Order: sequence, then structure tokens, then C-alpha cells
Amino acid sequence: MSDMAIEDRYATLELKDGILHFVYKPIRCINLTIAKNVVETRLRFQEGICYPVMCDLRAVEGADKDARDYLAIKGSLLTKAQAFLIKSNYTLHILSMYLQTTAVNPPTEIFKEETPAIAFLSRFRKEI
Amino acid sequence: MERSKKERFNQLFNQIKEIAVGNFEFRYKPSARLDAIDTFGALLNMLSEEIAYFNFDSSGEFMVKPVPVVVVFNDQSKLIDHSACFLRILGYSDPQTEITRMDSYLTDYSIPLLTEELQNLTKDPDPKPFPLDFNTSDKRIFRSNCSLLRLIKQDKPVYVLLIYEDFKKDNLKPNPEVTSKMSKSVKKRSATNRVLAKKLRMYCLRNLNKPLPSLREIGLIHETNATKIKTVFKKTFGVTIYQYHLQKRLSLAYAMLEESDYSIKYIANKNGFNSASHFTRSFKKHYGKAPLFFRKD
Repeated sequence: MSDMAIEDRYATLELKDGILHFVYKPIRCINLTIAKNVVETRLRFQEGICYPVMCDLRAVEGADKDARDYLAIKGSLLTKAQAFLIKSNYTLHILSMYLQTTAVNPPTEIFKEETPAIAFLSRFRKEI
Repeated sequence: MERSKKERFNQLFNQIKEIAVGNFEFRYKPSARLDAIDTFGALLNMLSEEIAYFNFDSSGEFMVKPVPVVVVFNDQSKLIDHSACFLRILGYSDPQTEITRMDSYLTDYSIPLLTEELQNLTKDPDPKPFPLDFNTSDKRIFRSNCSLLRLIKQDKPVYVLLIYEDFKKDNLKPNPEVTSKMSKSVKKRSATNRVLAKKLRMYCLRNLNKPLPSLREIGLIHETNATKIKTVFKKTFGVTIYQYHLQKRLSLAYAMLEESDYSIKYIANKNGFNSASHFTRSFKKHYGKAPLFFRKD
């Protein structure tokens, strides 16, 4: 699939070299409404094709429990692997707890730099 | 104004104490610094949410938590006020038949429970959740977790009972005189069983891509036995572990049908079904129509 991009109220999505870059806009707390919205947007964008996903959370401060539970299951649909991009230890610990307390299925890692995140996701891109 | 370090630590200490006494609604508010204290506070918030969910909302569905039903009564047990749905769901909607005493709505064994909680409130003002059984007009029982508060600005004692669980038909129990299990009907779930139920649920959700092994094998993994798994899971979630696992797999398959062009065989395989025909049969049984019917054009 050739590179393409869209933008909506909560995030920008861009497909680059077989990896979906999902960049959240500044959000104080992701609630269930936002979670359903972003999943729907992503699935429509992917048009039924599975991709490794770079999820950029650097502008997000948190997510409530309903949203976390929803994203753990429905947010992993059509996802080969996930790389969460964060900027602070604050988010690192919250995300670690999220991964431990929910059932996230695709291979998932947390990164503070984009380059190692791309390297991680590239392994799954080759399998497509 | 930004809080001092001492104030922020005090807030953390208070939240830990609140959790210890069973109040999971208290939340620490992170500052703009997002430093180690804020990280600790955010993790405490998540801990409160997980414990609250596990204690009061184990269905695992993506539901908005219900607003508590409110009942207000005085020290003579006279009903002063209540939420609109309280009488309606118990079946006392006719004003002429409306009962005005709080304890008239409770089963015989719940009245002393409430009395004890009222006495504890005098000694310890922090509300702790406790179960109560309510009588319905058609002689069934509505069971719910509740907590008690006292209004402080009233001249005479006025109490507020918060009823937490959804007013759903599923909470209605058969009449204890018919079942003759009155003495066992008010029973608190043990912490061990709650932990086991949560582990089993997570085990199901982490293995949606394959069939579950036997109860014996699941028991070996979780250091328990098949009977325990059966009773704990069914009591907590209302369905067997296999039914729950199947429902989640079908739900994921439904989403894949709607959002992708994958073949039925592929979707079946991805969601742990032995064959496309097995998947189609289960899907049709659950949703009433064949999988292809739900495929978007």
C-alpha cells in the first residue's frame, strides 16, 4: 500500500514504508468515547489490512479504565505489533501498569526514541 | 496555586488510607511537573480503579459505571426521599401502596445488618461498602452493594444509603422461603476468589486465538482445581469460563468481519476455531445470522 495520511479530531494517521504511524493530538485523558473514535478511525484507514503500528502517546496525559480496557482488546485489531512512543518516565510507568493489568495480545514494546521503535516494528513489516 | 511537596505527599498518604478502608473513589491529581510523586499518584489512581472494578463491576463488559441509587431516611427508619428508580424497580410504583419505612423494604436478615452499619457510622464516619437484600413487591429479592453516609447539617440524624449495583433483572433473586437458603444468601465473596476470578478472566482474554484447555489443565496453571474454577467463574461473571471465552472470540471475529476482507476461514483460525464451519455454527447461534451477513460492502 502506498504512503498516505489523514487527520481527525484526536489523531493523525500516516502510512510510511508499511508501518502505520498513529500520532495522538494533545489529550488530557482518553475516555471511552475517544477510544472508540480512534479505533474506528484507524480501522477505516487500514481498509482491512494488518499493519505494525507506531502509537505516539507523547501528547497524551492519561486514560481512564474503561478506555484502557477497550483499547487493550479492540485497539489491537488488525495490529501486527505495537510500539508505544512516550516522552517521560511518568508515562512509562503508567503504560507498564496498563500492559500488566490488561490483556494486550500483539507484541508490544515501549520506546522513548522513534528509531528503535521503527526497528522493532520493521521485523513485523517484513512478515506481511 | 501549585501544591507544596508536603501537601502532595499528604494527598498520597490520604489516598492510601482511603484505599485501605475500602474507598476507591478518591483520586490524586497530578501536577504539571509529572515527576516521581505524580507518577506514584497516577499508579495509585490506576490501582484504585482496578480494585474498584474488581470489587463492584466484574462483568468485564465495556459499560459506564451506574450512578448510585440514593435513599434518604431518618433515625426512626422513616423514608424521607429517594431516587426515582428505587421504588420503580422494586415494583412499588403505586403511591397508594408506597411504604414509608426504610426497614420495610429490607429482608429480615438485612435489617440487623443495616442497624449494625448505622451503629458503626457513629464510631467511624468513613463509609465501607456492605451488601443488603431488598424486598420487591412481587416477593423477590434485589441484592446490592451499598454504603451509608450521615448528613451533618441536620438537627436530627439523617442517613443516606447509596445503592451501587445496576438495577437489572439479573440482580433479582428467587424468594428465600422457596429456596430455603436464607441463612446463606448474604455472603461476601472472599478476596482469594476475587483474585482467582480476575486471573481466569485475564487468562481467557490472553488466549482468544486458541481453544481453552480442560478445566484440569487451567487449574494446574492457576494452582487450583476444576470445581473451584467452575464455581468461582460462574458466580463472578454469570457464565462458565468456556462461554465467556467463546463470547469474547465471537465478539472479536464480529469486529474483524466488519472491518476487514479476511476470509471466514482466516477469521475462524485467528480466533481459535477448529474450522470455518465450526466458527459459522457458533457465530450463527450467537448472533442469529451467518457471518457473511455482517460483512460491510
